Amino acid sequence: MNELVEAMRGTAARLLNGKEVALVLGYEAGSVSFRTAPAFIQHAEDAPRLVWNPFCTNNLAAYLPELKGVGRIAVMAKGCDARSIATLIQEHQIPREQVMILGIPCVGMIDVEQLLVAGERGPGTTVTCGPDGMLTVASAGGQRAVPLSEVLQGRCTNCEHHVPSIADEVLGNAPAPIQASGDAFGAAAELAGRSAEDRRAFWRERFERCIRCYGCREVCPACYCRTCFLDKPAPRWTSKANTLEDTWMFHAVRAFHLAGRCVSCGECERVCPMDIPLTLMNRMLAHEVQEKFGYTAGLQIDGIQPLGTFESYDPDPAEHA
Amino acid sequence: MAEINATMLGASELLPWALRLAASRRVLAPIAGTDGAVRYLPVSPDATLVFSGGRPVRGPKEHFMPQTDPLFTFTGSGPAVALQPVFNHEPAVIFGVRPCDGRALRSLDNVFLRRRETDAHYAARRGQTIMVGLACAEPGWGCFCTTVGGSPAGTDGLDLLLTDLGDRYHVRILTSAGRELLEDTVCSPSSDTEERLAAEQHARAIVRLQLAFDSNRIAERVTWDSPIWERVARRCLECGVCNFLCPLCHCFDIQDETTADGGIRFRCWDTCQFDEFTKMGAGHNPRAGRKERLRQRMSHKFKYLVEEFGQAGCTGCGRCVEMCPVNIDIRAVLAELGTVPSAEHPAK
Amino acid sequence: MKAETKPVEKPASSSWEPALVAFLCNWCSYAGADLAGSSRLNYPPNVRVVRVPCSGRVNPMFVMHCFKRGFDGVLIAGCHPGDCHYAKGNYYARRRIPLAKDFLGFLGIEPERIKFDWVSAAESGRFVSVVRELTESVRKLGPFAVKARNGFPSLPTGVQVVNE
Repeated sequence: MNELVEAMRGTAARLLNGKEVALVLGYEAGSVSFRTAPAFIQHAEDAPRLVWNPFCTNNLAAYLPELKGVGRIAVMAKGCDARSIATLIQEHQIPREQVMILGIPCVGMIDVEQLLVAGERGPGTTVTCGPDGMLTVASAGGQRAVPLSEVLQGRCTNCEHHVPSIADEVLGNAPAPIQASGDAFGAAAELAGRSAEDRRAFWRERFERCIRCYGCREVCPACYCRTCFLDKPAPRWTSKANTLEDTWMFHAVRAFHLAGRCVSCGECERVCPMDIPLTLMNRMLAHEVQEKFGYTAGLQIDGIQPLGTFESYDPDPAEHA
Repeated sequence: MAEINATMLGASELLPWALRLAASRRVLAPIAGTDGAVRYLPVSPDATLVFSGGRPVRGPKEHFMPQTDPLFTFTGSGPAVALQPVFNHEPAVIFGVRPCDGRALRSLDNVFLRRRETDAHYAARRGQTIMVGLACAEPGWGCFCTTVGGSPAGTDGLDLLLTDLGDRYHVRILTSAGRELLEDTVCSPSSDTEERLAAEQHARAIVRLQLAFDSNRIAERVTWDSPIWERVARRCLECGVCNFLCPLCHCFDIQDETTADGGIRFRCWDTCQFDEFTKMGAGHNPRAGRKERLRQRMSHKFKYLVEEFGQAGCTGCGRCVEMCPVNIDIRAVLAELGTVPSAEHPAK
Repeated sequence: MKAETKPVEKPASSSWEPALVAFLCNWCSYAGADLAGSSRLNYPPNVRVVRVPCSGRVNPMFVMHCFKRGFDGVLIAGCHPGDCHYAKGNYYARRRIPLAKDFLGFLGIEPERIKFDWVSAAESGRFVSVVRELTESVRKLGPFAVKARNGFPSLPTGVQVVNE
């Protein structure tokens, strides 16, 4: 991990000193040892602020569309982040030449809520990452060693793209791949197998918790519309009242707007304060898009996405055919 | 005979007590839902009350200031419009209120009760709701109530304060409403040992909370042109997590929803972090950037409310700290303000 | 505020009738429906027609909006592949609508509530049978409602929930 951090800092300083980029997007230490914060580095002397650890969970691609005028930007990109960047380039939200993708082969990000057990969630807890993927959690109650593999975020255990699909430079060596413990569609498949009534009840219970903070929308790199359908007064698709039907409409539409575009980075679910399992919807749609159109988001920077095109041999759904 | 101010309640008595009260009023308690989220919901016989651990992700603010708060419905059109006010507030009891959330009510009281106008809805809810508090045994990693004048065993805004001693609760009686509430259950006198146990638990919790920043004269240090705003706000995503989870953020919007022959007017939560917060019809936005809106948030809490009411708009509950997607830590920002020179307050 | 169409009222009795919305493309399916009318063909009156220029105009948000407002089923009918007045619109619909239908199924809306079919301007009989099929399959399923949150009053002429 250390040499990767050195590579990051060195690369950032080199790019800034050589004026190859105007800005480096990466991660810096957070206010506690188990959080990091997105870092905007504009001067080479600030490069030492950059860190790399299994808490570097944010998808930095989310910042790119608004940074279009800044100049060339170097972005630290995990596998999922790189796919988000590819999608943004494909959708002409940022020119390819304006982004310098610094790919980081990733061994996975920690689910902090899962990691910290009762007694460890208070002030003073620290988490350090040792070599060989062992974490040490030190709290008022003592010390505990935890293998990283046991506390990975769900999206990491299913990840098929640890190594960035697209990168200008790859920092560090490709790590040992994570043993995927389930397929990406797994949890969604279970829900899909239940009755319609069960599914209605399932989603009703989840959507009822939604507080319409839009954390999911704001953290998502694929949600960059200048005026979101939620904020349009005319036509009024959803009310600002968080009635169940309006909240249902919000989530249904947003998920569908991401069909074929979401890379399952899982940030929406991580930031949701009400623990709504949002990625179930996205995984279902990603699975359907793959099955129906043979397409996976984020693996190409050109071409047309499947809903923007058609084939004469697309299956005909009309029953009377 | 002197009035007793403390008593003991068996832990197994709590849910039956709550259910008995629910026969005549709305009774809310922190209840675990699926996927782990804990919210204040009406009690039911099969409810799992969550009293241990950190404060629930949502506080009881929603009861006093619902996220969607209907004001009136209207039918008809033109000169024949008829308004039907919506004003149906019932007596209520909220169990498991953490001291930071209880204290937050003081701030909401300042805004809704102590200005020129009194908010009738808020006043009705406030006057009819009894708050049964719960002392925090385990502060969260984001908590900083002691930094802003609070305590994990604080009593501000509460009618009773429970301290969990395992198989029983120590109950501190704070108001006559709280005392009256206890008549619906069976209590026993507290012993010196139990008083000591409760006090020790409080002290242990307090000791765990370090002072996060110097809150002395904080209002002076929240300066308009500090370079901190630009730097920190750069990573802000403009979501509503901080303000919506805050137990006392209270900005709201008023919206109408209409159909062909009628409609409804309601209040709904707003947040200064949304781009549309002060965006006007013609497009002008006095707080167009994240820097302006982050500054607004901090200034409102630690400067404007202090100057107007003498009390900061923050009780150190730590929710915004723990839940911000990009780790904007209000404690770090406030610690840095005053140390970084700006034009208003040049470095000493 | 622009007034919206009156949402659906469901009487709390056994005389419930499915409330359906049909998005019909101007050049084919709408004309087919019109022909059914002028030919005095009988078909269930449950359908409210929304005329669109092309089935490719149908945004899945329209379908979701119908269910949100309390309708029980939705029909989208377009020109047969190859016959689209705008050449390609129905091909886009042919990808978009089945995906939306499957996704809404995942959210708990039975696929039998959404029908996507081709009806040409001459196929008045086909229009009738398509409408009849949808009406009957929705009648079997019963009313659909995304229940309003407790405590929030419905709009004055709002959805009265019967089941669930």
